[in-house]
Amino acid sequence: MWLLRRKLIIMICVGILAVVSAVCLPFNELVSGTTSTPPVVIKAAVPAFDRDRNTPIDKEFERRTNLTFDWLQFPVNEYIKRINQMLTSAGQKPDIFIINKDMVQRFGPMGMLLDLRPYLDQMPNLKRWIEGYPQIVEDMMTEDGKLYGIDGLNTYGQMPIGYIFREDIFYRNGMLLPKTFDELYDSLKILKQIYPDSKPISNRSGPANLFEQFYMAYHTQGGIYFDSQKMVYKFGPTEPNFKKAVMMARKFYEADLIDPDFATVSDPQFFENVIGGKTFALFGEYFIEMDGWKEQGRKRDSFYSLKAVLPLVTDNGLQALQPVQYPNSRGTWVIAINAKSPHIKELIALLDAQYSEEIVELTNWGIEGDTFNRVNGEHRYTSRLQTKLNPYGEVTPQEMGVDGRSGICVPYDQDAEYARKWGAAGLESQQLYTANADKIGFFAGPSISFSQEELIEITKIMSPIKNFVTLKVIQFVTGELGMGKDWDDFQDELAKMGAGNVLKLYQEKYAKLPNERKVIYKSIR
Amino acid sequence: MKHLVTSFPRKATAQMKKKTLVAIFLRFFVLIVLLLISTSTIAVYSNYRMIDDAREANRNYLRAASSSLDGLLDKIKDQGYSIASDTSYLNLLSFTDKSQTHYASTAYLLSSKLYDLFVSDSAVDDSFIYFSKLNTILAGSGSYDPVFYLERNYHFRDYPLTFWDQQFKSGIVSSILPATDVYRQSGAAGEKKYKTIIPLVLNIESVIGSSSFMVVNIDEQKIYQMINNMNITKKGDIYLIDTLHNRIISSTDRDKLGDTFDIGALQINPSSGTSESEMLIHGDNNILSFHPSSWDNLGFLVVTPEKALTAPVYKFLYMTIGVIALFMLIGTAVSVVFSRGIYSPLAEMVHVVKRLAKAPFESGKSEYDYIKESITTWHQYQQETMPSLIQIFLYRALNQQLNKEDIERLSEKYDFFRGGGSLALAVVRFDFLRDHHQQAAELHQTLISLHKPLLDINSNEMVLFLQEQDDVGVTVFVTEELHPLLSRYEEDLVGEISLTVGISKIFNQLEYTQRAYKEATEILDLRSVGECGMIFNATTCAPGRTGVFFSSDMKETARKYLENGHVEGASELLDQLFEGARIQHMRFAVFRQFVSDLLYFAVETVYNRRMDEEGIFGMPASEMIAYVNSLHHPSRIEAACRTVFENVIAQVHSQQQSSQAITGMLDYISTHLAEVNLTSISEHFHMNTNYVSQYFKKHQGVTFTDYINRMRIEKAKELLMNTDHTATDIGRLVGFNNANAFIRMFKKLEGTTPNEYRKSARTIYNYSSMEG
Repeated sequence: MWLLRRKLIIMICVGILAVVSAVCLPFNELVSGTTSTPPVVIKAAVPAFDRDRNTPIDKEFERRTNLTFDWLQFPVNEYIKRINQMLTSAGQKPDIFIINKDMVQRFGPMGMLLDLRPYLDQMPNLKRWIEGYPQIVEDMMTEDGKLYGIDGLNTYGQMPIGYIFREDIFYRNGMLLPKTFDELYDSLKILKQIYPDSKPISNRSGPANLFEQFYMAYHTQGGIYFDSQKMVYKFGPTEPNFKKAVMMARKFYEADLIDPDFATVSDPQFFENVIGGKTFALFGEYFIEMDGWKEQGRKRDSFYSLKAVLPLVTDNGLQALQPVQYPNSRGTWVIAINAKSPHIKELIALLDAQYSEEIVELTNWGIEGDTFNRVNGEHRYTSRLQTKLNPYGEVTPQEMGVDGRSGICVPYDQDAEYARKWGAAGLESQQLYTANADKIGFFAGPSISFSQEELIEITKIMSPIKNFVTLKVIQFVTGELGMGKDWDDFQDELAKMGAGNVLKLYQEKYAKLPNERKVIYKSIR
Repeated sequence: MKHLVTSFPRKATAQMKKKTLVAIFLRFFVLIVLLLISTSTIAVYSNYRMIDDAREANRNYLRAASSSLDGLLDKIKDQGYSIASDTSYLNLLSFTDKSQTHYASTAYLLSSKLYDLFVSDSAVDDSFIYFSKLNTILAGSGSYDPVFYLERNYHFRDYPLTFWDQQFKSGIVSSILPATDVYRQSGAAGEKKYKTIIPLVLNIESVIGSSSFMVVNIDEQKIYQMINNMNITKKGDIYLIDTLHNRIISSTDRDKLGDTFDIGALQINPSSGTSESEMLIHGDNNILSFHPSSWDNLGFLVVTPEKALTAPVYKFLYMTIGVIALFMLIGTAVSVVFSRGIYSPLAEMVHVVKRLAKAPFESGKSEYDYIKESITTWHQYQQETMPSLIQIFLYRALNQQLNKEDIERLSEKYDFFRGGGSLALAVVRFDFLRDHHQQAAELHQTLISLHKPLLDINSNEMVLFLQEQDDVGVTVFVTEELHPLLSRYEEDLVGEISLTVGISKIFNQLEYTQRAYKEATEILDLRSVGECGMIFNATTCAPGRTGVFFSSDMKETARKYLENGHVEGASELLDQLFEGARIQHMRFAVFRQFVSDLLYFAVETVYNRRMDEEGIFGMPASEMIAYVNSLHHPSRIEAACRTVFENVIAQVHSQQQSSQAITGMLDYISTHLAEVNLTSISEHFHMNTNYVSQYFKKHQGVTFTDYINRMRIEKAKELLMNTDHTATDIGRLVGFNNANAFIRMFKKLEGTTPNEYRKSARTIYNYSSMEG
């Protein structure tokens, strides 16, 4: 009996203990023990394209790649600055990110970026692209044969920028669209008199960007460049054509045809100038924006119209050039992988998956039947999707995620972009330029790679030269400095700064290239 | 477990259970109150400590926040002022027209500096300088038209263009403005919220005169993150406040942005060092800690809701209370099981008493009172109903020989056993027609009134112990007290009672008690049935004669009359027998035996005739005999016997009449077999058809139809055997209307057809006759 009672007391005590412990333990601790292993989370840094990263296509992207992403986004205009800060500062770094080519050159040899070359065999999809565009690897390869990143790719090249005029203003005032710089000068002078508060030529992204257009009009550039006709590297500022270019800019400035704030004008102010009707001629502006500007400009002036013309001809008979964008140069963006990431295997698989037809189609066209259909083997967006040509679609590409921005710089389908974003004017202009690419294209030379030390040396010399040239050209253009003695002094100064050494380095490197790489790819489609 | 639970006495009353539970609850309650008091004391003390600690933490935090944020703001301010001394800035101030040749390069240089200075600092979103003479805004991000900038590109919600104009006209004061949302033109979509910005306005006009000012746009999110990341208290909200204008500049409580704050109501002194106070905000008490910044118009305020501090302690307290309550519930539940045992002696006692005293336990009554009262009542009852000890000894005296030692021992205690004088026993035998027990009790009470020891022997007999000074006293007592008393009693209940009393011989020694009892009973048994009267004693009453028997013929005759239902004969014979018994002075015991024999005849007849004994005797036959045997008065016995005989004979007689009726019917059926049916029978015997049907079934055990069919088939068989009629004719002869019905019935009852029957029967007959 006593034994039984003791057993009972023990049982009761145990029961009470169990109840009390259950009360004291928070509920979630009791259940948390059963969660399965979470999917791999990839921390990715990408430019923010003014859209969310949780669109249906983003979700589908995660599903198909079987990964979860922790997106780190910065606005496009400050992205490079921010990612640079992030990679140079201490703290946790993303697993995969977009950087520019300069950063690849800088961070790669430091061991921060994963050398992708040993992994190429594991990436059949990427290999397929490389077979089509050997530059993908050639351009990125360092001297010692390391591949620290992959360019952002387009399905084919294009000529995205060119000369754009306010055609309505010219026609309104009884003028034809100019074909030469002289004609342009004369026309704008008349227009300036008619519209005294106008800024006939306006620009953005700093004065150097404007000057570059003048340099290219005379087939030169503001720094070291490759002359694709003579197949030789040159340093622009010391060339006679460079002086001619500066003098032409000076001529336009003196006639008040260039925005007096050209050296400082901000992007928003530039847009305001363009759509507000203050500006009549744009040098080297993006065709894709034409239709947007037209649309906004027409809200203020119903006659507002923009038209792209083939590059103008200079006084010495040269037709101005415009840069060519190769399929493998999507701006300057490069996809790179953090060498210290714990998920290398997954990242390689992800990178390769991004080059598969399936994923390229997903990010550019979306899901068949929902956002696109195939007509005669070609993709067509469904009417559901709002595009420039179907403005009443119920969902925008950004909302849906079919803007080619999902993932980490997945190859960009030009056809998709044309179908999606481009209006008639932009598309027409772009086609005009692309059709004449071999005449008006400023083709970059074969890329050559430098060692880390050489790069540092180049930056050390070229960076001050770039700033110096910009400031000096501003002063020459505004008349602050004369084109006589002052120019000679400028040239002397420039010579002292050592640009010649860098040029020599370029030339030597080029000379060492195998002959099969000493070619210019003029076909961009 | 089950065994354990059931092993506890489980008889506690509901009242007691309730009381026990209440007691347990009370004990638990007191315990809990004690626990709560102690827990609450600890909680209150902890709260006090926590609030104290929070204050200390807030002070430290404020110092840290103040120094780092002041550091940041001072750095930004210094950078701003460094611009003021920059040559390109000074040059630009002097320009009045953008067409001046140096304008572009100067602006380019200053813009680069602004970009480097501020855009590189993540806490600064952008900064701009307004040049009034040039009517331009130069920012890190480039140059702007002021109207475009402030109205569309960087639109401060709370600081529109007019605000800046006003500020500019009234003279710029370097200060930090409260945070505001900034909107930005965004393509076709119109304005879109860009960021929340704290503008730091700097008066950098320097020597030239009021022609410019500078605004550094501090990213409020960054300030918030900074103070939030430093937030070591994590309990309260931090406010960066403008003490000059009573405004909140930045806050960790995002909803509070843009609120104004009544600094005066906070009872804090902005100028002196850290100060603390308390304040009710939305009904909750908040602890405020304030620390002034090195900026004149800034201060840091931590608002910590006491709730946030004390919530964990209260959570702990509630949890503790919960656990205690849980324990109480468990404890009570266990106690309920065990409480069955706690009061068990008393409960057991109540139940024992309840069983003995047969008094219900009323709820609301104390168990102790109940037991006390019940036992008292029960004791009284026992006094009255149970044989006292002396009665036990008297009983012993009646039934066994008491020896001297016993008597000596008993005589020490009881007067009766002290003996002396003359003793006699009166055996009182009685029976009642109704309510025997109650009447017996009344008789008992009556006899008690004689103040003599009285002993109940059984339900029909009592013994009264007479003890007087001498023999005469005994006789006198019997004649003058006992006899009149009983006579009166019998008269009161005339016809209901019969009483006989046997008085023993007078004796002097207690040792003879047993013998006296035998004498007294013998007097009653041997008395003559001819004697009538109530009290019999050895001297006055002669015993009945021995050897008086009735001839067995008479008994046998009585039996015959009984069995054959001879009412008059039986009655006459019984008269003769009882008269004879009285005349012959038959002894009572013999008389009783003789009556018993007669009754056995009656019972035997009942059994033989399968009659309903309950219907006849009103009770089972054996009980009836026992009942009659318990009677003590010859006339009552005689009456009972007569009743039994009359009832039995009447029943036998009615049976005989019934059997005559059925015999008549059967005769009628056999003679009219061919045409008889239920209707003809009932008409002939003047009976209802239903009754005939039931009557037939009752007496013959078969239905009328079955009986008729059986009889007809039997008749047919006879005809088949002995005549040469065809089967069809025989069927018609015995009463079947058609041959088919006859053959079907024949086959049903005999298992064969009439013709086959005749064939086989005749074969057997012939065969047997050949054999014969």
